[in-house]
Amino acid sequence: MRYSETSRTEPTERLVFSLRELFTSFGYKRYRMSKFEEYDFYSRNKEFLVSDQIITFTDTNGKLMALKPDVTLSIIKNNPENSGVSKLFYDENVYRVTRSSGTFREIKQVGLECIGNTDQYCVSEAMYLASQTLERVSAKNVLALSHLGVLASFASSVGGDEYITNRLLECASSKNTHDIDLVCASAGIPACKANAFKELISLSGDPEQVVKQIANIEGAPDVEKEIGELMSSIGIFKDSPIRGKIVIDFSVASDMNYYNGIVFKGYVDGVPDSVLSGGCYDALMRKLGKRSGAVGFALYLDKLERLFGEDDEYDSDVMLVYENGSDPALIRKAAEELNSKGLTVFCTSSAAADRKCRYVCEFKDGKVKGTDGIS
Amino acid sequence: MEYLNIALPKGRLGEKVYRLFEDAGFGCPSLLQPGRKLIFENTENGVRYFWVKPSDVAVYVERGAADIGVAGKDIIAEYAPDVYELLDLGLGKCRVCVAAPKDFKDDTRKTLKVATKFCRIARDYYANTGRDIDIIPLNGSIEIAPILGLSDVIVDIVETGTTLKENDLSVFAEIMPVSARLIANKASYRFKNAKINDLVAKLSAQIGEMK
Repeated sequence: MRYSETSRTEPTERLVFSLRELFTSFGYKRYRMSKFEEYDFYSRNKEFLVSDQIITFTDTNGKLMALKPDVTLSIIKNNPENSGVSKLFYDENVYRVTRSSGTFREIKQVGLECIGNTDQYCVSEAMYLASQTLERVSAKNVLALSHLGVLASFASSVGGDEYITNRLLECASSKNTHDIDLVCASAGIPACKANAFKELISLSGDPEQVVKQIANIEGAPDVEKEIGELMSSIGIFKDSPIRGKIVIDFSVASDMNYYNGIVFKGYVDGVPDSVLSGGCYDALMRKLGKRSGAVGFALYLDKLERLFGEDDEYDSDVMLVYENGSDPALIRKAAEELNSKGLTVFCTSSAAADRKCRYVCEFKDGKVKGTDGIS
Repeated sequence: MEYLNIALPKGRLGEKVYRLFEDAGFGCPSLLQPGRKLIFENTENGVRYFWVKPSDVAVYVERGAADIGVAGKDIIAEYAPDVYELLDLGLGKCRVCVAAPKDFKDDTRKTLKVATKFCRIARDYYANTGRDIDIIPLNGSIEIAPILGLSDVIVDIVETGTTLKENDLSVFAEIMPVSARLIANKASYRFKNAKINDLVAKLSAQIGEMK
């Protein structure tokens, strides 16, 4: 690949630029945040954080500060409520303990939040942008949708207390239908009471088909309103080729303390985990004392390393080996001539064995030698 | 060709599980041939098997090196991998139990010393009972821990109970039943959905016939 500003940019950087353009074209405004927030804010809202471990430090004024472990909480806190909607996007680093390493890591997230007087269009638009985001990562992607209202209604119909409902939701997130009988038995609930819930969590696929299957589940609770919301939200994909990449799957069972209504997760082929996560989080807004609604999503760029992991075969196009004592101005001029052909040039006085270059040229007596193969 | 990558646990359980897959039409004849090879492919039905350490199956599947795999419920409960648990294969049945010397009496005035390789399972179990415990992580020969005074009780797998008996130990509580589970990577489930669903349907039919 020849040198140009875009071709030499890291794939994740190119992706971020492209997402900025995409979000801006939909009227979203960039929201830049400080890296720090008062620790007290997170300690009061730890239940909403992925991990309750936070990097803290004491600021010069004596306040205990935290490196941001989450973006959404800060945006909600700092965004005043008004009668309209705020459409914001961000491109920020967060600092969390990751499940895989068990240690703190800096994680780059790109995402958006639509906060305020949100309506059906806002939800549809966020989903549309989520699918467009996935398209920019890889053409082979899937956006899996769920509705927490549907899941909660089916779980409640089993008849257990909050503990049992939570265990049922755990089973839903792992599509584990076989352990549901054990959960029911532990609460003295007849296994047959969970049949409808089991059928629901087994479903996955094309939205129209899944909705038909839900209608045929015997003993299903009334979820007509929720299914209506789900189907209206995907109306935005009508006649779009992306429509085929949307599935309904009730294993997308996000934290009900945070989310409510429609939730979604995005997958791209080649990454073993979901790379995008989002949904409606009115529940979080209520807990933070806000009356308005909200919908948003985040793309986890750290998970894309594996996808974008293919390095260039060569470190540079040309290794320009100059004689000791050569005039630096002449070396620079020779390198610039090669640059002008779109080549990257590594200048050195001795051929570096640890550097792989497409061409090795000599700079001797003020001339570049060995450029025959370079077109 | 796009293969379905399957991680099987090395050992007797893995061989039984493989027979189940074979009977369901996902055989790979080279798999059971003697040798040290660990990866086997069958181009005809598009499956690729790997033999891995039983406790590593969940890691291979969670990290996407395998699309599906077979792991014991004990391993799934201990490592809590973010995977789908699609089927209970009904093989390798056993229990995770609390065992102790036959004359053991829990002195609730003291912290209970628990030797185990299932630290999370033990911690969750005793957290639910409200008992204060001290976990002693071990990797094998757990049964000798109470005999040598290293622990008061052990939390371990009990299959027939023979090993416990031979070491003068008895089961004091059953924590959870264990059997082999078919697990799937969440992203593979999206992109190899038809193949995985076909396998699940055929395995379910096999299991139904076995019952």
